[in-house]
Amino acid sequence: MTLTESLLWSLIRCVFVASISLVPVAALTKQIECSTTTRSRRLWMFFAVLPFFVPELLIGFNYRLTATQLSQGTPRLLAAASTEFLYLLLLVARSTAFGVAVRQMVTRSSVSRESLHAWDSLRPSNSSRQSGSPTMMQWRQGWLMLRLTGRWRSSLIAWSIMALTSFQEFETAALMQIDRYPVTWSVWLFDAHADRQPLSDSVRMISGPLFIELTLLSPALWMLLRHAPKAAVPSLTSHPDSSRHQPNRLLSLFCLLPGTGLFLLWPLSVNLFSALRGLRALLSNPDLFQMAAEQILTSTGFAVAAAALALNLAGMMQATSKPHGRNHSHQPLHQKLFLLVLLPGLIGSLVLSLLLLAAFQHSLLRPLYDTWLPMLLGQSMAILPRSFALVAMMNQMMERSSLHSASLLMSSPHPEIRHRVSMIFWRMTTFRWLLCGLVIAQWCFWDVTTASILRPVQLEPVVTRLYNEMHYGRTESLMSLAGLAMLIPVVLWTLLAAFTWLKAVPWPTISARPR
Amino acid sequence: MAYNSNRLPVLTAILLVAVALPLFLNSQSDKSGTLVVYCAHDSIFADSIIRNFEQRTGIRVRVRYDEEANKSLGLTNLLIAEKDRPRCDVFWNNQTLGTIRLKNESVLEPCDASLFARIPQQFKDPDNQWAGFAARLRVYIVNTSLMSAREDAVESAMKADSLSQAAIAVPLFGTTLSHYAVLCDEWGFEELKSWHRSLRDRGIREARGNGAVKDLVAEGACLFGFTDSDDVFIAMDQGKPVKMLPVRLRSGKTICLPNSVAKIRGCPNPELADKFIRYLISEEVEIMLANSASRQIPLGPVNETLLPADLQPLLKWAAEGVSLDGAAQHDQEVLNWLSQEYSGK
Repeated sequence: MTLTESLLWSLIRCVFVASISLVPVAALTKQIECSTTTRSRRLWMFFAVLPFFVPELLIGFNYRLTATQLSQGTPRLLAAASTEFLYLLLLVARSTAFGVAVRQMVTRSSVSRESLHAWDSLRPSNSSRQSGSPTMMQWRQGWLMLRLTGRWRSSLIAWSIMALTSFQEFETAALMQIDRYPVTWSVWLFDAHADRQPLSDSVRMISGPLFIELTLLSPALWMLLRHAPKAAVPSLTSHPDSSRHQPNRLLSLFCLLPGTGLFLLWPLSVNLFSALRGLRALLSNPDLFQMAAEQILTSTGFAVAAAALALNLAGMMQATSKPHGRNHSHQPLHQKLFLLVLLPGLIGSLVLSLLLLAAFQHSLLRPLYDTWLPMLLGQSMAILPRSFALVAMMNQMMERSSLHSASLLMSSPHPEIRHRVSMIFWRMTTFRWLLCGLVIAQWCFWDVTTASILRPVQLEPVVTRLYNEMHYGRTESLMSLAGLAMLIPVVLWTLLAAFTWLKAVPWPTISARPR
Repeated sequence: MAYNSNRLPVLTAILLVAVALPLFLNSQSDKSGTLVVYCAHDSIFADSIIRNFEQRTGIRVRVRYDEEANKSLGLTNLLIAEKDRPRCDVFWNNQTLGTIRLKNESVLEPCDASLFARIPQQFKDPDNQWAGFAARLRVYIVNTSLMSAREDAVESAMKADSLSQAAIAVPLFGTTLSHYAVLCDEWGFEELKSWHRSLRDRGIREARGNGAVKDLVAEGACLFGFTDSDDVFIAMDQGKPVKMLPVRLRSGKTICLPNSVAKIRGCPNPELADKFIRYLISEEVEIMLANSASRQIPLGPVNETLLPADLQPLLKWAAEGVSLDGAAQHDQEVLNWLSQEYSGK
């Protein structure tokens, strides 16, 4: 199979995955939004986004045998179809998690139902066309734009992100591949490198995938950068999501099934005892535990640093690339060119890492070779496009009017009000940014390609060790290490939550103490 | 709160520190007393051997392990890329053809012949640029619950019309590529091509690595497959119903793939490198590797009473190993053909 064929295959698959995932995403989003209590809302949200936090590498490891068993004793075509179907199912489950998260973050609509109705009433008819009214073509364009920036907006952004992440996927496909299926361009390119293909050839070959990735990402960027609403516009008439259209709980549960089953229940049922045995062995051997802890902490440190860099860069790019004023054409060219920094991340971890490796072996940068800088840069650049999209969504989540009101209340003479307002500020700004950083750090933590190519000699990130444990079938050690590593986001989340809780406690200040 | 453009100086400062700090630390670190080893052998087994050397000699060793994630993308290519300004002193490869490729790329430095004295001639370079030690064998892994682990049974299964219950790793990487290079040397290119085509036409299962072949057979998805002896030992240790048989060429020779060690040309610490190489190909290390979970087969003379019982038959098979010099000449040619075959390049 050639690169063009594998690209076409990957493209068809990712478009299919993103399109089909819109159905469970819509059902789950509706369920989350209509939850009556905070607890049930959080529970739905937790299970909906869970697959995102399970590393691709562990999923590939879990389903590699399933893939082989599916292909056992079946004709080649059926075997290929079975493997592709399993991979598709895994991608849909993961994409649904992405989609739900994206739709929770993106402002739904800047177009009210009344506006849509008004535009519909302007539809020209051939018999009674008045001067000044739009032509049919203009009306259709307007109709489409109102829907794209209105009802379809969040779905379109979600579709774009889901298609991009499915297209970029590598680890799961590589690990569960049998008889060269599932076909993906990312595995094809990796194999070409393993076949000693020169880097220059890879850079030439990456133009096709890069073009496709830019095309897939462009709807999201277009919506987020050029059609960013200030806030969702409520309708005066009843909303379709209101009581007349209660979510179907059964359908929502059915939509949760692939993600929870494939990413939580099945892996847990197969590996829980191995993980516990491995954990006991790890805890009973202080040297082994120390080594594992060092590797996990080093990986965490790197991931957090790379996430901080990517987040700041993405924020800076947003600030620079945002159009000022009504006329977008006034935006200077150099500000638009700034978006080119996104390109290295879109060419994929493999080619990006190899390019950085070559750059740092050049005499000019050679003194920095074998330091942590190449790996830090590699991880940050690889994650930059996703960070950019995330920051754009975060910027839209900020309710500027609420923030303004809060800032006015900060000058209140009452300490309790000031305390509550500072709490609101924390929740609306810092807390959200830290969560955003946590998500990006999670991506960096599990990026095995960048780590294995760019890490300095003295550093072994836990993810590369996991790969070796996997190869030697040391399931106990693998699962216990993976379990510990997966606790990191939980620990960071708990710390954040604890800090938020502490901030919420109204500690007495000097002026508030009774005299 | 949107991104604040006042943070630009902060970001610049972070970037400056990110560049300046490693530069400073790199210039301050004392590299003269530290040996750098690139190790393609698995860290799970190699680590204790290297730490033992450190404790015994007081020489600090920094190790860069290869990852399974990298396949052959890793250390061999890295060493070629670093050829002009090497940071590595010693390369411990888990096979041989990659090391011969490094020799052909002028990456290796000849060693004193006395360093390699205990290794038989067929497993070392005539120019003393590398030496083999602690080998693996190419073997058939057989699921004993599903078929008899006899050479005639496997041969007969290999001649069957369908190979849908046999497995092989995609021969683009690692020891399967070496296996193909050996076959090319033994049979000639055309016969290798026709054999490969026949395997695929008869529906052999192609996995992405020898570990995956081992899983396919151990889990009963396939009856038998081509893999390495260390993979079979892993499955046996896990209690899977498997046995191994050597893959034999028509000449009756086996395919024995040793670890190899070499000194890097222009390396920062040549004396320390010699000390490490002498240690690595010692009897002591070969015995340690033989007793590890991967059961590497000693190539030099060793006290056989110290070897595990299940390794004994492999000693004989390894002694029948074919020379890899011829295979090394065909390595690139075979890879070019396979790339065409699999990637359409």
